[in-house]
Amino acid sequence: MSLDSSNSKQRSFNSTSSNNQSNTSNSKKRKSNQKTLGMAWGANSLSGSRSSFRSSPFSDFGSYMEVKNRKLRNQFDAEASNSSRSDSSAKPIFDGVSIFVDGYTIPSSQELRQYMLNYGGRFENYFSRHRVTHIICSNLPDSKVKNLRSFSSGLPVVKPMWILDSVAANKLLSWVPYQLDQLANNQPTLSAFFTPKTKPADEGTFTHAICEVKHETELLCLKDASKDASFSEAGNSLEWRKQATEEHDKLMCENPNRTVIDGPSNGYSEEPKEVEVVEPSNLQEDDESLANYRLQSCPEQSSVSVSSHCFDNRGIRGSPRSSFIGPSKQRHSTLGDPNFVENYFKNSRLHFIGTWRNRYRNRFPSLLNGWTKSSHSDVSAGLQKTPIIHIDMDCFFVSVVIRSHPELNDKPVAVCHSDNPKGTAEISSANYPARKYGIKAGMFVRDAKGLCPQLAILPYNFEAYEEVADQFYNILHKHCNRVQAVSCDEAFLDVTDLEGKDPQLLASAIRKEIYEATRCSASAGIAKNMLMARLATSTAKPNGQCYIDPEKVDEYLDPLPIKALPGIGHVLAEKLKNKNVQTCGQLRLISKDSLQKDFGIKTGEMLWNYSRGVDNRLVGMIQESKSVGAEVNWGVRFRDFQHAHNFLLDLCKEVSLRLQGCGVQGRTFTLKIKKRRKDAGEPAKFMGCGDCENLSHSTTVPLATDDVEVLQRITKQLFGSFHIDVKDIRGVGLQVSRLESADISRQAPERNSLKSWLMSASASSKEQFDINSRGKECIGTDSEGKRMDVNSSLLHNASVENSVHGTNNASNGGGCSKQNSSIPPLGHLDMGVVESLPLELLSELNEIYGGKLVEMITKRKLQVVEAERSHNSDIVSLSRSVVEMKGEQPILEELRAVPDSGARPNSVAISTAGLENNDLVPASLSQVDTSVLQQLPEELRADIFEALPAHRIQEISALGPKTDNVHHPMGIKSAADNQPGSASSGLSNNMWIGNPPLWVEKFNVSNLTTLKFVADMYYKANSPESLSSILQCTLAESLHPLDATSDAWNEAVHSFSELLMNYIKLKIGVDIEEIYVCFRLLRRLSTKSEFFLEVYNLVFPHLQASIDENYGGTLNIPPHMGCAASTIYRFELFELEHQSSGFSIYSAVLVHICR
Amino acid sequence: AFERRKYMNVVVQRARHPQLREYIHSAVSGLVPFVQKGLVERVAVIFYNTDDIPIERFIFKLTVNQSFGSNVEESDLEFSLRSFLIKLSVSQTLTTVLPRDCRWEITAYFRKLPEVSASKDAEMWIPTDTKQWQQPPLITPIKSMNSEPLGLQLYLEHPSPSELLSG
Repeated sequence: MSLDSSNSKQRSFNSTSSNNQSNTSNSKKRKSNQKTLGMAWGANSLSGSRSSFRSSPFSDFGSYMEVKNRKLRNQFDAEASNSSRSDSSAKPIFDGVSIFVDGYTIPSSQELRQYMLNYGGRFENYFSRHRVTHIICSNLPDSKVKNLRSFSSGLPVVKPMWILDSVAANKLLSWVPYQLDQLANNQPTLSAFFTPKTKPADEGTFTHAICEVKHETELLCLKDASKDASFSEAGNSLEWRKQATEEHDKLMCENPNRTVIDGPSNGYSEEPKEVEVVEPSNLQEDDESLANYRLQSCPEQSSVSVSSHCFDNRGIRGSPRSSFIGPSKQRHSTLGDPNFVENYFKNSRLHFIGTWRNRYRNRFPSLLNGWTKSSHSDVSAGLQKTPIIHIDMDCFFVSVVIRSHPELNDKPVAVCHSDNPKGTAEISSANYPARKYGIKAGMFVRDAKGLCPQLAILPYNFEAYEEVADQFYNILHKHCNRVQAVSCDEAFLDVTDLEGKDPQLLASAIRKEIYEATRCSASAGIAKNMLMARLATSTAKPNGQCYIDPEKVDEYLDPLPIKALPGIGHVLAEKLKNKNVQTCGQLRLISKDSLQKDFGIKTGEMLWNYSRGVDNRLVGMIQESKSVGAEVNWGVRFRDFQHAHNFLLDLCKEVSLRLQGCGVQGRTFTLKIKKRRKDAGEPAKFMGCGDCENLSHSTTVPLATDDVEVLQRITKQLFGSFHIDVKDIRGVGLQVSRLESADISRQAPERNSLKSWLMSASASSKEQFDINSRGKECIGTDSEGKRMDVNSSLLHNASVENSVHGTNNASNGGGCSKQNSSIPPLGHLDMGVVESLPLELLSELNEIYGGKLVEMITKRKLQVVEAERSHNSDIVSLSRSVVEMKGEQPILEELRAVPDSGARPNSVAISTAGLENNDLVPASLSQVDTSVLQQLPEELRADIFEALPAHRIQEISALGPKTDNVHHPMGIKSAADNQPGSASSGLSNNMWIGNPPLWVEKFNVSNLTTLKFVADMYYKANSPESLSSILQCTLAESLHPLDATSDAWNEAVHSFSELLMNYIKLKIGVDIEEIYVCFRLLRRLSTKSEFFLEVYNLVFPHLQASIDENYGGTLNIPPHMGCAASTIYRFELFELEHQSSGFSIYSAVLVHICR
Repeated sequence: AFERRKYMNVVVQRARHPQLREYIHSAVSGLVPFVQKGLVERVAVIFYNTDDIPIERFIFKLTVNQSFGSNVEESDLEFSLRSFLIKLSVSQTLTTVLPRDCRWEITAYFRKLPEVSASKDAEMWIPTDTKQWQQPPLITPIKSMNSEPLGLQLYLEHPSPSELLSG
């Protein structure tokens, strides 16, 4: 143990101070250090094992394990103390987390241990229920799954990704989503049923290709043949530098450093890790070839061995090593070392087209959003006459480049990134003179040269393309505000809005302007829809325009070969040819049904529509990209694993940059790999991918990200899951999908909190707590004194419950403003708010105000009590809970409970039941049940109001309708609306309308004791909107026998029956369960009271008739006579429904049932 | 024949036999499109005795509000449905003891017959010639819920005593 600790001291010294030392000495020192450390280890483990074998200090295995565990923990602590990150001021991520790794995991348990070391967690080597908080494992044997409890002792079993993602997110994420799949709660939720329903609406009418930023094989070719030859000779030994874009040296340093760190997976190995720093010795620059492409051949490998030991691997990350590697790397950057991934995409035309969209979107953001909504509503109406203009630049990629070569104007010209005449570079675009020779895009250069030896081949000029494309769109947007960009040189215009102008004139004006601005020609097609406009353009090309009259559509289409239609490719054309269909005219003869049968519903419909010139697509905006990614399929040859890894890291950087460029973050990551088929030889295309298998793996993370490091980590993991020989890899692509807007994901939490401030309508204490803490955060961040005022004024307008929350928020504001030393004067404080504060806050505030606050509150309280006492004669039962202030003024409130004698039973029940914190006085009226308040006699109410601050009264007046919404489920209202005035019975339905329902008022004012009693029950019931709970209460209360003789008897029976019938009517359609419960309760009541018996007998036939009418049967209520003989106790289940908090408590209540 | 499973976080009983499970599943999922259209009024699980006379019927009465938008309060609905399932699992006392050799079927009552051409789903369903009770049955409600846009009531139907006498 002593050895160990001294050693760790040394190490810590090393890692912290080595920054200042020169590279050489540092590396030496590290090496020597390494040795001692290794010895220390050996000695340690040796002594441990020996001692266990030699009988001596341990009496039994248990004590041995105990000592061993203690030692392991001490070791861990020692390591953690010097390897935890320097910015230890913040709480470490895994504070309080102690993991136990079970079995094989990716990353390995040692890596996980390292994470725990670095981020303040604990790592247990042996499972202990008391010390371990999380079990980490990737896979569990079936026996353990089945017997989970005994295995895990109820602790969460989590996938290692939890730790990695937590580290990546730099906070402790909830482990729940990371629960092991085998155990995870795979219960479906209702939301699964809803998603498919809403989807179709999202899918726009526009079925344009997904604008996926995808990049296919691109040729970056070498200038002359000799180099080609040398290249292929060199074979695998040739090193293609693949280094990502780093302008900054800092980044340069980080990159290799990371690879070193991520390298060691074999934890405690004592072998020094080798880091290869590849330096170019021979740079062949080729000025005439692509401007920024440089081939670097035969790189000399200067491997620098950097000792790395697992112990301090993480700890020193970023400090000594980066300073060590830094200088050597800097040489690369100063030399302008080319890096593959960057250059690859710099020279990719498809990349240009792909990323152009983002550029376009950034340039014309407002234009895109402005009209889309309106267009969707009105276009369907004007579909017939909508004139659409399709504008396409004539061989864009060539004509833009040709501008600077006027001598080539009428010569055959093609654009390709390499003009090596024998190369296998593909021609990307050729002008019309060249096309006459049969030169097409996608042809190899050598074939094209064979067809036309004088063909001039020019390189891309991406800056010029961008410039021209921007000019092009500027002109289009100037003339028309409905532009749908298809590509950088092609767009649709919807000129419906420009009724006054002739679309043909407009088109020629636009074309003229484009030519003047860009010196490139464009062609235009005008027709009634997008399909026809596009076809018209193809007729118009080059440099022309064509208008297809709606009447002449058929005439135009008849001779048109089907391959000219968009969406019909080789395969489909071949199939149609077999059916003897070659022109649109022939296609039109086939019925829609048979087309759909042969080609599928969608394709069939498309064929049918297109052959008739029907196209219902709208000129819309660019679709949101669904995925962002990058793929390299050319020039991919890896020497070894490390090499491939570096490439992946660079690819991640590229993807991350693209994500950031698009302003999105993604959750699903797909790594695609092209793997050379076993039998495939070297591909025909130089350095191409050849015949490949396409493999892909994907993973989804819970938190959308665009962070390079996260991407790299995920990608490495994905790559690891392929298990293939890196030498067989011919292409790698990384794609990110499930995109979320980066802005939204950043703003989301903020918005939520605001929303819940205003929206939350339930006073569940849990929510209150949430909002409380949220408010704290919110105010804490920008602790301005004004903020508090804003809060409280805002909250006064909010609903009742909100004001409860609100006061807490305001109080937090108060707490914070203390630090700002801007205490509002005592007089400005809203006492109503202050009083409903939690006690701790109140006492805190009290301290700030030097004790005056509490004094003031007591004074006010006394006033209120006084006011109430003066109306004591009214026999008001006032129950209030006692408030205990911490230490001072123990009793602020009297506890009085005057028993209800029944003469005038106005019960004022101040709702304390619902409040969790019973030590809180409901001094603010927001906590008083308003329905009760409304029932108070006028004078008493006035007095209470007087005792309150002025603004509270407004609140109360606003209170009524709001609580209505809260307490009143929609069901009753809508049901009542559904049967507004059914004439079948003379009864009016409206006894149940209102809050409280009308009958309560009616019963209350009547001078019949029974009815009044029932009305009282309305206020006592848990959920007063249901009769059953009222009856339940009635049953619970002991009922005074009624004098059956009085005149009122009949009236009471009648009223009550009417009430019941109303209720039946209301509920019969939707809730017979409720009716059933009511009548069973009623039946039980009827055994106690003559009154209810009569009511029951009166209403029961009506009930059965209603049931029969609606359900074709009779309600099965067991006969109620003879209950005295046998009394059965049964458990009934009652749900105490907490709708807002979303959980339910089920309690079994012993119910006395007569049978 | 049944095992306890967890579905939507509620303990339910699930049939062990794969074919039986298949029947239940296909019957229920086959109903989904019609429920969505609001065509289904009631779904009944009917138990017959050996004489093919129903002895117990579990009726699910559906009210689907078609006009309801997509802003479904999922949590509310889920909560209601869950309480439904829970109530169902404890309502054993309400049922009668079934004699041996019973059989049962799932029957759906439609508001109107769906057009057969509309979809293939309709073909899976055949009109039944279930024997009906002569007398109106006794109804024992089990659970009702109403959470927009779905209202659902479950009740039991038993033959009325007079039926048994006549039968």
